[in-house]
Amino acid sequence: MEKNVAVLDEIILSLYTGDDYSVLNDQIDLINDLSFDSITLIQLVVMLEDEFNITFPDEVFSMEYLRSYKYLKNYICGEMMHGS
Amino acid sequence: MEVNGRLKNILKYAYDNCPYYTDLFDSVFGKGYDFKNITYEDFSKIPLLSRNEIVINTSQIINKDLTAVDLKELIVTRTSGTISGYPLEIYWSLGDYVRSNTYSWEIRKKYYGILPRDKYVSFHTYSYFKNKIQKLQDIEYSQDRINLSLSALDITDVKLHLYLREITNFKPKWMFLAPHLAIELIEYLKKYNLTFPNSLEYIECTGEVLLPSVQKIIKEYFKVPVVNFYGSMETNGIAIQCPYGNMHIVEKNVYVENIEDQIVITSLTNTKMPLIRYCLGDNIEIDYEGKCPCGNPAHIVTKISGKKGISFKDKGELITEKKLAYCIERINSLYFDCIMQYQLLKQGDHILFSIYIEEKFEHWEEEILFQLRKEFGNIGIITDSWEFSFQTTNIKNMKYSKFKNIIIN
Repeated sequence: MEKNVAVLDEIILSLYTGDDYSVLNDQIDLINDLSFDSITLIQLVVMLEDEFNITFPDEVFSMEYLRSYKYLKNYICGEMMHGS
Repeated sequence: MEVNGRLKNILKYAYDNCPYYTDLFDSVFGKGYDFKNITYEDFSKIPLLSRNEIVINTSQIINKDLTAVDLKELIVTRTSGTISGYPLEIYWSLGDYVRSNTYSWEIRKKYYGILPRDKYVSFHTYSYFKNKIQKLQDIEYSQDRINLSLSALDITDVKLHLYLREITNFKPKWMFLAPHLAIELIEYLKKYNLTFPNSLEYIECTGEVLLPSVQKIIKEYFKVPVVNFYGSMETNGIAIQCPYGNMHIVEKNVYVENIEDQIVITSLTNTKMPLIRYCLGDNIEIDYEGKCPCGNPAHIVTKISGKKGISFKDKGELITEKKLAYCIERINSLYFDCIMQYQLLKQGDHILFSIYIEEKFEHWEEEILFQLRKEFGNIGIITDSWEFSFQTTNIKNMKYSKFKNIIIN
């Protein structure tokens, strides 16, 4: 699980253009706190799907979830645990 | 047969949330129709939606439950000039917009290694600010400097010189442009013996029919994959070419119908402004049985040609873009894709048919002309009085943003 979170963090931070690399915590909103725009969110989805070999279901694209670091983390960890 | 799940979902969603569709579906199916078991037969009873109707009914098509959060993060895509001089506006939630575009990007990433934040060059013909068309700038950068956008209008060597300098400094990974612009760029580079930055890894062509002969020339010159993309501002990606050359429909994003050779689209991802059975206006042919070695099971678009387009009568015979395209394709299948571009210019009764062929076919002009006249004749077009002109350079597109195959002055 820790490894998956580390990969998720690495991908998110690779798209983050700010300079505070200690930003990631469960309260993070990718749009408000990291200034992710639509293109960045598309890239995030494509990179996560590719890295974890998953396909996000439609409900993940609800903005309530897609913007939430905590939700993405839990979703990916859940998928990885379920898949392994 | 029952319609697929995504299509069913958007129909139900539109019925429950958008007044336009509530009224429309009530009038077609009666009140309280159960979309859980809707069949394709019933689906086909829904009247086609025109651009005109969208403009008139925008406020009723939009989801009635837009929240304040939705409004804050709403994305508006616009298409140029429609009736009343107003652009057509399509409203998306950020999540829907991301979902809609993700499906095309999954393909770009998988086959061509291109990601959304890779730097790219594109060409624009208009730009909007607060609903109004702005004066075009020749060179524009996106705020995040991922996109260098260049004006596609009035392209001259002087402009291309400026563009190339900008592109060279920018070092794009990919380029998104109409085929005629790619050819124009190649001719300019050849003419002045210049080189394009070697950062380029991928080219995507859009906005016009990409003839295989043109695709080959672009690919050979830039030595990168050249991919045909078909999309619209109204729905985003509709079809994208795989490495085997097949244009697969982006089936997670759109449901595509071929109604009398015209493309009709249902957007499967836009819940804020659903477009159901929308006539995009382009001509299309779809292979529903074909299998592609790439493994993508999505149906394959075998032919796309421009919107209904310009047509006129000559000696009693209707001359259409489709007919011209058919004859040119016949010649290209006989003579190794020799014709790169063609244009019919009608001035009064005089018709000039210009043909751009590859230089190596220059000495074949007579033979090509003989066959071309024959092909035209086979479909009832009499070309005795037409003037034919061959050239080995790009046909200049003087004042039009999109290349036109028929011009009537």
